[in-house]
Amino acid sequence: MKKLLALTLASLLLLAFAAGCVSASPSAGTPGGNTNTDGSGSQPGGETVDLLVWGPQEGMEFLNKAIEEFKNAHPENTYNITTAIVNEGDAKSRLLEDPEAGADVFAFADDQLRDLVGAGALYEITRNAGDIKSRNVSTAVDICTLDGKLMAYPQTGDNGYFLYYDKSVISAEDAKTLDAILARCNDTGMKFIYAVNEAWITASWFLAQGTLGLGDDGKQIVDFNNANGLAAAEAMIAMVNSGAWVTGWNEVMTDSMGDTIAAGVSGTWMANDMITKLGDNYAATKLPTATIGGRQVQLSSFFGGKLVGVNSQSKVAVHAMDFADFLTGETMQALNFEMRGIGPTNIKVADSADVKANIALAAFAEQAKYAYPQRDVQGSYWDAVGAFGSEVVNGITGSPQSLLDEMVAQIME
Amino acid sequence: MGQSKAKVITGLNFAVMGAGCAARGQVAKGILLFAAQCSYICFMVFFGAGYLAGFRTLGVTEQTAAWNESLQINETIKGDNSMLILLFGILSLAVTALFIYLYIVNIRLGFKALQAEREGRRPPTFREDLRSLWNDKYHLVLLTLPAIGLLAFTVLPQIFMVCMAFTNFDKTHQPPGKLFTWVGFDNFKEIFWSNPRKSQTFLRILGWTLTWAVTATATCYFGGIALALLINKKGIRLKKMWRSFFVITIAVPQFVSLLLIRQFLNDNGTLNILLQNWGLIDQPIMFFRDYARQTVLFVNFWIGVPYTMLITTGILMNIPADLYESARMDGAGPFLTFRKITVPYMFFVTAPYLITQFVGNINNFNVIYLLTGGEPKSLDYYKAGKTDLLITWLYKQTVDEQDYKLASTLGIIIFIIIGAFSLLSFNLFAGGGKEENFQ
Repeated sequence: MKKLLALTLASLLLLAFAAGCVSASPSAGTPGGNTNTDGSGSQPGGETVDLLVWGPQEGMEFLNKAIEEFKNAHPENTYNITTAIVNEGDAKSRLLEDPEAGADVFAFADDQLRDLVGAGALYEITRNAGDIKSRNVSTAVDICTLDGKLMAYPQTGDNGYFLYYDKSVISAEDAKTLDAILARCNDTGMKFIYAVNEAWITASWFLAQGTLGLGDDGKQIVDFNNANGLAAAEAMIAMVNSGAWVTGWNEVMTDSMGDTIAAGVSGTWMANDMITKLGDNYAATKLPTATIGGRQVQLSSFFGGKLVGVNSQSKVAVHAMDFADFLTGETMQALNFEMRGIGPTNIKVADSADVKANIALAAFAEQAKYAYPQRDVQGSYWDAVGAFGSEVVNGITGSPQSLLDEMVAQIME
Repeated sequence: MGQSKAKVITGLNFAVMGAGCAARGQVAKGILLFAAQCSYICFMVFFGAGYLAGFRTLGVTEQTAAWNESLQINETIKGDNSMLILLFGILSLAVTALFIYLYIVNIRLGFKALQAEREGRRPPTFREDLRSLWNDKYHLVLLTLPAIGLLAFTVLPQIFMVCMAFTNFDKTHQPPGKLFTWVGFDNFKEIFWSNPRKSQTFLRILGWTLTWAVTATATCYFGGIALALLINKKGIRLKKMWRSFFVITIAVPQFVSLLLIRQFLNDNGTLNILLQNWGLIDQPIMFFRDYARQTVLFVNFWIGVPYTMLITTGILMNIPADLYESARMDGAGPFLTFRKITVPYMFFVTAPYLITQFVGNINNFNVIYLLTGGEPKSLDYYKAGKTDLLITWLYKQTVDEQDYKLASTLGIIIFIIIGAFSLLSFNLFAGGGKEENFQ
């Protein structure tokens, strides 16, 4: 009897092992669309189509509504559309874990485009491409295009940063130059937030002065260690040492904007917090100009957004593209703005009175004129520039030039 | 007839598994062996052979796309998937190894049956075999299942991961679009000498990892003993209350305390604001910039001490009181008794604990990642920060950089370091220290 018990226990252990492994593997048994193959996927209709769509947690309500609308607009086919929560930031890594089991249509952040295309995970967008290009703002089409091919659908244009400020301390005129902002802060004992130790933010100084390119071998090419780059670094150091500048970023702005902080650089995700903190004194505009090498130079930034892609392993690519097209079209972008306040890329929606009245989105659009697409930025850029920014914040003891040389060497490694 | 027939059967047994057994009356066993052979052949023909054939190159055809005019799309034409070839190639190799083992068993069984026949014995029947499995060979029955589980769910995935260290699998060689292939020891060369930026970073991080592990282990250990001694001291009142206080920190989940402390010590955190409001400092103290390493060590001390205190309290109470008494009679002071009795006794009992703590600290992901995330970043390091341990560096390489080859190589190196340390210290302390040697 004891032996039988021991054997049962041993098998249970094995079962537990197996169960652990099975449940640990993500999204097992997702519908891959086995009722339909591309060969028969042309126009006539009357088909049953299984689609798996990934979207972010906060956007689920919108996504479900969009799916209903899509089904209503296409009564000729039966669509079984399943959704799963995968945030835009995780889409690349989740998809590449097992592309075959991944979503047919998924939203992702624009900085993942190059890696996804490199991994052969995206369908080139060929259906209705002309219309997609003409109905969206050119910067947004640009971040979806790689080597002249449209690889994704622009969905949102709202990822970037600009200046939030307290109107009661800083006038609209002051907000135009960094020197005036810092002077006003020093006058009133308030502080200014500009997180130069975040590589994403540090870019505003180097990109205003230099260029960022990509070599044929896929390696990053930058010129941030020449005289212009050095001037940018020195201007950054001068700001950090101005007496008005403090460390920290989003959390500090959420906590202290209007209390001890008079202005700060951040993105649209902070808009609601800023409105709550500042009330009537809430204001936002493009980044100021800074004195770099004796001249007033407009600070630059990154422009980005969320894109929608079609999985290259999808068995129902045609339907996936039609759905993605619908999801990123004018009506749905208007709905996304209405439901979630998400900045549109569709020209008509962006021109609507409601969007124009949104202060943060207007500031974003204004800054977009001076912004770089994040598409061409390689992974090596972030660590090296972030490290340089950290060195600036910690106080550089040696010469900035040697640090810049090391930074550029690491970026181009 | 006997001689030639035996030869035929032996020969047949080499080609058809189970023939030897079946011909000599062990029909069930013969059928089982033959079934194993058939299923292996099926497995190889329908599944394994393709993967094994591609195993040397890990795939040659890349995925491409072709224009489909009627659908208006650039249809994907799938190519080889290096990852699947590597994974199923390893699986096929393992199955093959298992099969070879079965094949040898088959020949041995055939030979045994032949011998039995020659000696005029009857080879054991299937029923007898089963019964012996339930009786004298019961260990086989019991341990086969767990062993299979271990092989399938632990050893095979490990081999898969280890293999990645010998390929160029990173984000520029990412399936399904791109192929990756074997590169031999190139990744190890890069870490150790051929890429100065990586090797310098590796050495710096290794140095800090070891410093951290030694300091963190020692501070927690001696801090815990000191605290336990203090509470155990005669004349200390409310012993239970003090002990409970410290145990409360264990009751709070570690990551919660770590995240709270991170907030507390931030540049604009509670502590800095309090100190500033009280007028004790003008500028915030940059715990996570200027003193990052000291800060993580201190926080780890604070989090780790209660555990050692709990463990050592029990042991301290177990040290025979007569040892202390006789020492006191011989005129030993409190420091001498601590040094000559308490420490050796504690050391003897807690050596395994100390070693696991040390190894655990080398891989102490939580404290570092949740407190500093490896920061402050520095240009002295390649894609790492000043408080990064090897394990957090590895994590960043995998998750942020998709540099799987480097991560896998690092994993192997960490394993070797830890393995060497554990073996060495177990031999020095735990294994070598016999109870008689103590005192």
